[in-house]
Parts: sequence; structure tokens; C-alpha cells
Amino acid sequence: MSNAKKQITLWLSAVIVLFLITLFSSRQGYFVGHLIILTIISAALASAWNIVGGMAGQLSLGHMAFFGIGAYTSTLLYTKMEISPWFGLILGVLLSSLVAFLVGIPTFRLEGSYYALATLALGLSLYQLSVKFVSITNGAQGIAIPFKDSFANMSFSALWQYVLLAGSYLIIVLGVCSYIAATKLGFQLAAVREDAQAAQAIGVNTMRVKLIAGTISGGLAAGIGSIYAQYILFIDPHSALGVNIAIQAVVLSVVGGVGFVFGPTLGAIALIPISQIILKNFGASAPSLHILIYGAVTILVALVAPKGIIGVLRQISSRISNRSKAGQND
Amino acid sequence: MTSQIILSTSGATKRFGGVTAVNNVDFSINRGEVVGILGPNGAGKSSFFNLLAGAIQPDSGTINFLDQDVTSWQSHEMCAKGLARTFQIVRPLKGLTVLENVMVGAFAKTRSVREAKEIATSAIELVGLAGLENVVSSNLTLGFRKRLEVARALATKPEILLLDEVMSGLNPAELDSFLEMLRSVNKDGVTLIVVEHIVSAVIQISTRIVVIVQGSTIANGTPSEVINNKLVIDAYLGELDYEVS
Repeated sequence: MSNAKKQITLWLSAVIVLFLITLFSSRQGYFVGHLIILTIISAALASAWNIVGGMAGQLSLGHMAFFGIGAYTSTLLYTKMEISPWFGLILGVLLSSLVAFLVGIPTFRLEGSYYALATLALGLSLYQLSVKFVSITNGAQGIAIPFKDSFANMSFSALWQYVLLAGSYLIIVLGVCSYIAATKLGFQLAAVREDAQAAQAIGVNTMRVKLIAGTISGGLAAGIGSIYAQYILFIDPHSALGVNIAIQAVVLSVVGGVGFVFGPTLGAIALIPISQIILKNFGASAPSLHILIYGAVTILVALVAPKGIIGVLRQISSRISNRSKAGQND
Repeated sequence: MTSQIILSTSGATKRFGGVTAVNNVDFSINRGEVVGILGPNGAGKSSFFNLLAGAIQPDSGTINFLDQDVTSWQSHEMCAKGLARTFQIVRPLKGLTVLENVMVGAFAKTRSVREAKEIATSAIELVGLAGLENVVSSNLTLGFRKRLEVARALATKPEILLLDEVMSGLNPAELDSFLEMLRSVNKDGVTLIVVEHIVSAVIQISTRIVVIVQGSTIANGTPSEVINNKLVIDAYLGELDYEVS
């Protein structure tokens, strides 16, 4: 039962932290609020990616597809048929789960990089479709979402309301992740990640657990796409379906700690504010500098701390506890 | 009930390209037996073993397990039904701890994390890894990794356990305690199939020995019958003057 208590404490503190951040952001200017929201959105997408990419060890390079399905579903339903984005979000999640499931069926049978290639192909083709089907998506010009301030329209006048919205979604995603990690599915996914054949020999239906992970991951990624669209109030193929979206999810997870529940969130906290500040200050003179920083940090982390920030934190804490144990022995 | 057939093959055949790795093998094992499978390198032992475990499927012939035709079953289905295996080249789930490794096995028969932990803990104790539960498995020595393989397989609560070269690479002291451990596993009611290079180990533990050469069984009997069989001596032991220690 102590485990359940630990979980409750953890999630209570997550909710409290969210309220503090919301309160903080309500007293800050636009830029800080914007930074916080972008960090939360990136963390949520990367955490969703982490379920299939980290926990199950199946590299996906196409999570922009799921993000974009969410963004376009809610946006199109809202702008063309005036259906509430809340409903659009739920529909987008369901549609995206279905797509993720269908992509998984043929590709998870094969070992190696087929899933990565298939998801990448899916993302790139959806990007092309969104560019070409001008009559539906308005092509590369994108869709502007009219701002009508109301809860039903998922449109808010204050930034802190978006912090609360995206933050709540992040907590849901993290809750799903930590539930998975603590149950049979989490153990089986870890087994698949480490050695699929050995996992199968000890009773893991590898195909089934990979499909479950892929479906949940794809579905959760769509929800944050809808929230992003409602926050920015504008989507185009690049911002909703660009390959950079998927790359960012991978990078944040790697930097924070791939496969760990809170890894991608830590990665987002470490990288998103810095890259946005760089973008703001040097965006005109060196437009891709923040991408360069991403690359450099990723290489550095891969070389120095392959388990990311979480790995480093764990090492430090185990060293401290060892030292205190040694101290007791003296 | 003591002579009840638990697992059998009939005419099992597996070809890889032009090579017939397993050729028309009829095999059966009774509940509670310890059957050793011997054969020179490349004789088809491992292929036969993989057929039994569901890792590969036969081109022809049938496999029966617990009165059910399981010919085309996958290994996770075989495991759910009660057949567990170890790998010749040990395959610990490297990033996971000893306890986590074994818990994955235990989840084959339960959904509850607490129950899986209990099953895993007792399997770990049985193979002599108690105290190492929280060690990351990639840090274990070979002998301990082999024990981990057995613990993980045992945690799936198998009726029958297939051990692939589980004792090769162990030093004599490790080997003795390993044999002791396998005997106690067998005493607990688990039927064993032991594929092994180390002839003496197989002879010590097996109640019956099957010899496979070029994909076919050439001998089947008690250890003493088999090692005195002319065909076996010619095919497997060559001209060596072999003595059982």
C-alpha cells in the first residue's frame, strides 16, 4: 500500500506544481508565459513519444503525423463546422490511435528500423497531403483559427489559462506513462526493448504489447496537437506536420532520459526555454542557431550521459546515499 | 500417471535451404523425466530445441504438448501453455535488474505486480541468486547470468523446462551446484530437457538420453545404454576411449 501512497503524493504534488506554475505565469509578461506553454506542450508530445520510442524501444520518427492529425482534426471541425475543439480533440485522439494501430500492424512484425521508416513515411506523406489538398487544408497558407473567447471554444484571453490547459494534459500523459511503467505492460515493454526474442520466450506477446504502446502513444500525441492549434490559433503543414516536430520529441526524450517517465519533461525544461531565448535574440541574424544547439546538446548527452538528465541525477543520488552509508560505517 | 506423455513430436522436419537440420524426428517425453539431448556440433540439436520451443515452426510433422496440437504455435503461446526455455547464448534483459528480469517471466501467469514479485523472489532464491535482486543484469558474471536464465524461465511456472547448453562455460564448482539446483527443480515437478555439450553433466542428471546426428535420432535410452551404443560411439565420440567419471 505504501506504493499507492507514494503515487498519490506524487500526483498531488504534480497538481500543486501545476497550480504554482499557473499562478507564476499569470504574474509574468507574455514571453515568459509563452515559454512555459511551449515547454509544457513539447514535454507532453515528447512524453507521448516516450511510450513507444522509449518504454517499448521502438524508434518513431513520425510523431508529427499524430500531432498533426490532432491539430488538423480539431481545427478543421472547428473552423468548417463550428464543432467544439474539445470534441475535436477527443475525435483527433481516437483517429490518431487508429492510424497508429494500423501503421503498427505490418511494421511491428519486423525487427529493426521498419517502424521508424514507416512512421517517418506516414508523417512525410501527411505533410504532402496537407500541402496539396488546398480545398480542405488551405495548403501551405495554413488555417487561421478565429478567436472567440469561451471555454466551449477552448479559447482563452489569458495565457495562464493555456498553461493550466496544457499542464493538465501533460499530467494526464505522465499519469498514463507512470501507470504503464508500474504495471505488467511496463515490464513487458521493457523486456521487448531489451531483447524481443528473449521476451517472447518468457511469455511476452511482443506484437501485442508493441501495438498497445504505439496506439496509446499516437493517440496521446494527437491531443497535444489540438491544444497547440488552439493556443497558436494558426496551423500550417510545417507547424503541425513538419518533421522537426518529431525530431524535437526524440531529442527532448534523449536529453532528459529515454524510457523514464519524467525524462522527456526534464528534457523539455532543459532545452525549450534556452532554444526559445536564442530564437528570440538571434532569430534574425542566425535563424537556425537553436537547431544547431539541439544537435550539439544531443551529441554531448549521447557521449557523456547516455541515460540523459535522469541518468545523471540517479548516479548523483546513489553516490550520495553510498557516501552516507560509508559515513555510517566509519 | 508417472508415464504420461507431456511433449512429443511426430515426423518433425525442418530445412534451412538445402540443409535438413531436423529430419523426421519422433520424440516423446513423459512427465517428470529428465531427458538429455546429445549430438556433435551442427547435428541439429538447437534446431530441434527451437522447434519444441516454438521459436521456429516445422516444415512437416507435428508437435503435441499437453494433449494439444501446437505445431504452428509461437514461443509466447508455448510459454503461456507451460513450456519455458533458456538460451544457449544467455540473453538477460540487460538494462533491467535481476528481479525485474524474473518478474517479466512471472507476468506470463499473473497480472498482479505484487504476485509477480513474490513468484520472482522465490524463483531467484531457488536458483541461488538471493541477495542480487537489485543488481542490473548486465553486471552479472556468466555463471550468474545462466542462473538468471533459469530463474526467468522458472518464474513462468512451466510444466516443462528446456535448457539449451545451460551448463557450458561453467567451472567445475559452479557445475556441481548447478546440477544440484536442476535436480531440485525436477523434484518440484518440472520436466526437463537438457541439450548439452558436456557429456558428463548430461549423463549425471538425465534419466534418458537421446542422441541426434545429422538431424536424426540414432539412439534413445538410459545413459549407460546410450554411451555403450556402437552407433553413438562411432558418430559422436569417434575413436576416443571415453569413460564416465
